[in-house]
Amino acid sequence: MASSLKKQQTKTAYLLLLPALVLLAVFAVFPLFYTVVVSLFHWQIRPGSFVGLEHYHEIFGSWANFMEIVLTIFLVGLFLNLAGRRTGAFRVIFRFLSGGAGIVLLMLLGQVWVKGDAHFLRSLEITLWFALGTVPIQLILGLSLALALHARFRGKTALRTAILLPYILPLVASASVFTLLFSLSPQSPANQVLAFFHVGPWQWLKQPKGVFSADQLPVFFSDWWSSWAAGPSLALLCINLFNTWLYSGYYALVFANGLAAIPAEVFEAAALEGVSKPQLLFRILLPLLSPTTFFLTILGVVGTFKAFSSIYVLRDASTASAVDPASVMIFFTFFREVRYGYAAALAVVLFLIILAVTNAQRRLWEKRVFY
Amino acid sequence: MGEKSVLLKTLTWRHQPFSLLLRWLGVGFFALLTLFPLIWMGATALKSPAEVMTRISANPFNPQFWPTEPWWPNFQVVWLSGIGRGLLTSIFLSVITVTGLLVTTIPAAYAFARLEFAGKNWVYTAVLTTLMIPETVTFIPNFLTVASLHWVDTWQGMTVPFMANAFYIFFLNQYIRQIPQELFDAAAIDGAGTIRTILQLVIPLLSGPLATVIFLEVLGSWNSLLWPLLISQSATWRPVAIALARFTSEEGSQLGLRMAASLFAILPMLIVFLILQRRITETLVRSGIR
Repeated sequence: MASSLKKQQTKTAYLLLLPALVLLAVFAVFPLFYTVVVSLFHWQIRPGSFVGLEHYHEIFGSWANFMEIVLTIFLVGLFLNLAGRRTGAFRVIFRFLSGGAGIVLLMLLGQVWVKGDAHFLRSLEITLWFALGTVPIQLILGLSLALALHARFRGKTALRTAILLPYILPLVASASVFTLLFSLSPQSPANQVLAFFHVGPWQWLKQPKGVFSADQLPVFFSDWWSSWAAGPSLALLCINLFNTWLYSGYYALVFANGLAAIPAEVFEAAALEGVSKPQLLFRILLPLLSPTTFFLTILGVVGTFKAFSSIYVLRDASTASAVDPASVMIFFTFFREVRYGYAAALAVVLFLIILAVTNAQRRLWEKRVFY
Repeated sequence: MGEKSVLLKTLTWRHQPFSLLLRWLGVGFFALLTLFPLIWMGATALKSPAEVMTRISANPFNPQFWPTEPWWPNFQVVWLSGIGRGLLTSIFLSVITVTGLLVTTIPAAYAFARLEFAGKNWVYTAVLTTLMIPETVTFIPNFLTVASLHWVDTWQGMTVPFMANAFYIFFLNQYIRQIPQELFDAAAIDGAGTIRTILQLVIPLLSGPLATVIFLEVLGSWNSLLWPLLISQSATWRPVAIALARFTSEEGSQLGLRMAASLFAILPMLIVFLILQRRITETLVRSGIR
């Protein structure tokens, strides 16, 4: 009886699922495999000859390099894993080993910089600056706003709506406001603020130079190192600011929801025990909010890898090499250079990086999150 | 006695006037900073070309920040220059995408939430796994698929790939699970089939989450640039995002026109949000989309 009911439900269920499953299969699952296929061909608008792994070769510079990078990533992971399981002296040793492997990895990436696709590596570097320049700030701002809003007072809804507005408005439109706010014109609002302090005018969104870039660097700084030492460009910082503006209100909303879920007894007990406000925040609220923080961190970091629109609208051909993260760089390889096969190979590498980063974050947080 | 006063202090602790004032000032200052770009946009959109060059200030408390008199021709010029068409196109495409999305998503979410069937866990995991795949990975093969269907520069090419979304299935599934079983039993006793149960029981009870899905999907389609750049190569199906980007690059120096165009692109979403606000703010938190 039960099994015949299940049989009947199976039929209904698959009929209901059919449209969604077909679309997901065609536009989400199939592309994952097809990207790999495309990446193995010389493909410009029409499919060309089969080139095997040549595109991957181009990305990493040489086979030896590629194998070494895969091997060192594996070693870093292995040593970290072993360090996590052992105690005492072994733990220290394995930590040292993983650190050493990490340094080797950095040097190998320097090799890729020289021999491999410098554009792609540069775009990854920008992605990193982008993540570092947005996610922590959004978390801190979001949490502060949520804490400030965690009370009943007049005008709360209006304030909440105001800080959420950037998230719910079309970003193409708000970006076109930001291009004017941070334009190089001496009359742009950003430059007027500078003029008030008798500084500037600056180039803002049109400034591709790293903020720490110096004309003379010691000889032992190779190109790779000096590019890192120069830091993100002013143009990229403006884009970071735009993204922070876009998402802080949303982060505040999510944190506010997390705070609301903490029982009032916690606050009462804390006050009874005479807990000071910093202690309340760092010893009680932050541990209790850790699932929210974890969720927002993952969302933010994956978001920076996926971000396209919010950078595309503020970028400029003249600053491309200073602000284009991997997603935008891959798009232009496809769209402007019409190198479908190579763009697909880049996309595959980027996807693997995203998977690795997400996984690493999950493991890093696993021990610290209290559910 | 001591304990009681401490407890009393706890309960009023969050309502101290001084702390409240600080909160108000802190958040209020941040809210003003947040709103500044939007206020500046409004003020600049209402300035005449001459005023844009002469009345310059970054300080809203300075009269120079505002136009002497609203200058309306900006909006007229902008509407006729392709922004108006882009807006109508965007609205049309959003309606089609959202309709298709609801038709595929609600039944799928219902099946996962309410039916027991062979392979359920396996299929559900597979569906959720598609969330891990970013657009950067899928856009190349999807473009090839759409091109082979001859859907480049058509409304189908702009909408069909977005008519299924694992996230919304997962999202609605959680809410359909929370509906008490008794309601479904009652519907079954009344002789309601699956379709009628969905239409007359599930959908009315899910108005909040469904409003959120609709809002997020419309917002997503208005923010989307990568796919429209590939698909809408001629002017026929150019959404407002592309129309605005083109307008910006063509009318580079005309600040008033650019801000009027941005205002046009923002207004519909703003109106929709203010109407739906009460329904969606709660569920928006759970959505986790950016």
